[in-house]
Amino acid sequence: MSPADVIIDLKGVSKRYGVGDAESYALRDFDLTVKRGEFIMIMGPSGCGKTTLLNILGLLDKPSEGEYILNGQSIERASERKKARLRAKKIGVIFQDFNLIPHLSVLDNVTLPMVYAGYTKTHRELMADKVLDRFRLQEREYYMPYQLSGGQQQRVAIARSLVVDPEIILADEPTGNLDSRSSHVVMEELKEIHSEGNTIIMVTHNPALTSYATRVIHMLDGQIDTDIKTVDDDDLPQPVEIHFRKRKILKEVKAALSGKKSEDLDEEEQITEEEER
Amino acid sequence: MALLVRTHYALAKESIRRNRTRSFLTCLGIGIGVASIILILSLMGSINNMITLQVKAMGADLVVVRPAKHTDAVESVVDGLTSANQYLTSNLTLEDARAIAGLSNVEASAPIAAGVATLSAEDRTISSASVIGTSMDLNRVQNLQLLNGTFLSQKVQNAAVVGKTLSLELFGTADEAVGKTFTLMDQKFIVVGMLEEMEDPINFSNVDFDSSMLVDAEYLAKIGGTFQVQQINVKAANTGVLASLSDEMKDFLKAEKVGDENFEVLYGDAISHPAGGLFTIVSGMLTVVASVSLIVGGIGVMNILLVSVAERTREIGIRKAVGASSFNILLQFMFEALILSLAGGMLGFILGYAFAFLVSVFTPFAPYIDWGIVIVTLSTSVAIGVVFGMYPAVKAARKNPIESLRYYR
Repeated sequence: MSPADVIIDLKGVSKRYGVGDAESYALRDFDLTVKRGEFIMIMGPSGCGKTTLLNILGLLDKPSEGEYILNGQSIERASERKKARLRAKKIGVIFQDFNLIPHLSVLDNVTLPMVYAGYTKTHRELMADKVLDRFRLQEREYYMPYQLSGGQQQRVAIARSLVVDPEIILADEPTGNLDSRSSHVVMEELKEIHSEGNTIIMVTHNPALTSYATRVIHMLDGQIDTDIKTVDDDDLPQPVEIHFRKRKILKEVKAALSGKKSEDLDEEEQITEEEER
Repeated sequence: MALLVRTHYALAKESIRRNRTRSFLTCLGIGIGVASIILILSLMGSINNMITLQVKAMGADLVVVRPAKHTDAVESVVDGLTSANQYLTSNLTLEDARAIAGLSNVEASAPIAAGVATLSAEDRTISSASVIGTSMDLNRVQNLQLLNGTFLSQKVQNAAVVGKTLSLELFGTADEAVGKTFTLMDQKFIVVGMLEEMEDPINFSNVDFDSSMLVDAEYLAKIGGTFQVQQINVKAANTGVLASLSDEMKDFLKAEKVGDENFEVLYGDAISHPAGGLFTIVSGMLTVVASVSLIVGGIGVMNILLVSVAERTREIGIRKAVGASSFNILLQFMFEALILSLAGGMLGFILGYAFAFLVSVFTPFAPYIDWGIVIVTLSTSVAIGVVFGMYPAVKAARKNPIESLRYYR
């Protein structure tokens, strides 16, 4: 396993709340290395720091101590703006209570991260279309969130987290508010996403779901209690090169935009163009 | 950047559309403030415009002498507002008028000595009629049209020319007053002429001729009228001598009024600012009052945005979690404030002019529109949006995404 395959590296991360007597640690001297293609489930009792860990990984929170290396780059000195861009482009988040914006249609909700990643409107809608199609939600594009069932809402949320093709997907109890049937559907979706080579880190309370994971971490009092890998590192799903897929989607979108002739364009240039924007 | 602006514009527009009533009321708040400023500016502009046109129509050969002291201090403005005659401080005299009339290059000159007096006709008495002592040259200086009869003349000392409105009040007739008599300060006067109704009662003499009685100033002084000369109107022989004539008059008056040089000699465009400082100060005060309502409107914008930010705490959290930076959130709310205040500004612009046109139906004012007013409106609206939108927008941008996501309504 080459170092390039390490996507997340936490070194001695602590998160402290309060000062003096009221001081308490949500995370204490936490080390974690995540490789590309892992499907990690984090379990543990309430208050053991699972959500704090996810917030730090999702760049919403800052560790009090320690270092967080994302894709080989330390984010300690990254500006707020840079972090926002990373959130928009590299990280997809899924929440327990879906967190769709209630007054936006399904389509608008799904395109939300792309607004901040800097895609044009046509671009956004074409890409959202593809993702919604995949989750069999295309005919629900113009529904409002309250017109959907919980399971459908969560699938919209997953579609939203996937739309910019992020490298990491963070899920905070995605099945917590769902019945067992919807849970199953959602987990199958996540499994499929994982099999395409995405890295998923998921917090859950439900031990029955651990069968989907390649690695199960039990946390206790802000530290790792047990860490079990069920799949060998070499067997992690790797085949789909992210940039390759991104390029492919872009190519299709461009083709759709211009009618045809996208093959003639220099693909490499398209990517850099997009990245600069 | 263009994409960013467009996106946030769309977001803000969406949010405003969602809260139509609320947004409309906020706009109305700003609109009323802007409308009152527009109304004041347009009416002030119309007055200036009217007099400028009048001066132009009469030929550019006018020179006007006015007392200047009232422009000096706020006290005199208060004097002017609280007393019947705003030219209390004038120390121009009929002698000055006579002397000026004798200068070379003066074709005609007429003093305007305005005052209030009791007039009694056969069966009616008006206790506070406007009486103007002037000279027979007035209708050569100021283009007064006679409805019938003749103007004042050397021959009859106790002649009078009456305006239409006053004639109706005093004699009960709007066109047959010639030949009637009335009493002013125990002296009999005879009406020799009637003035045509003025199209624009506001003029550079600052006199409403329609409701005035014109009499000979010299005779008025003889019978004991102590009206002050508030203005001396002079018609120059030709436009070429305006500057030298004005200088000549200044020198003469300076020599005459040593120690109390309370006068100004105006010609050309300068005439069109009637009563100078008073007018400016009054309209300035009105503008200040109007801007208070504008500030109230701005506070309305701030208030509505604060509510919006509080309501959308969770949305802000979600947006930040999926990749919005604080700057994105700031922009979103700033755009909302700007759209509200600009829409309010436009609404106010329309309201203000609608009202100005309404006023013009009942009064001689014609609404005055120019680019200056448009620019003032737009820039005040933008300024209000920025100033009052900043605080809520910064507040929204500073929200912690984790806490916002935990927020339930």
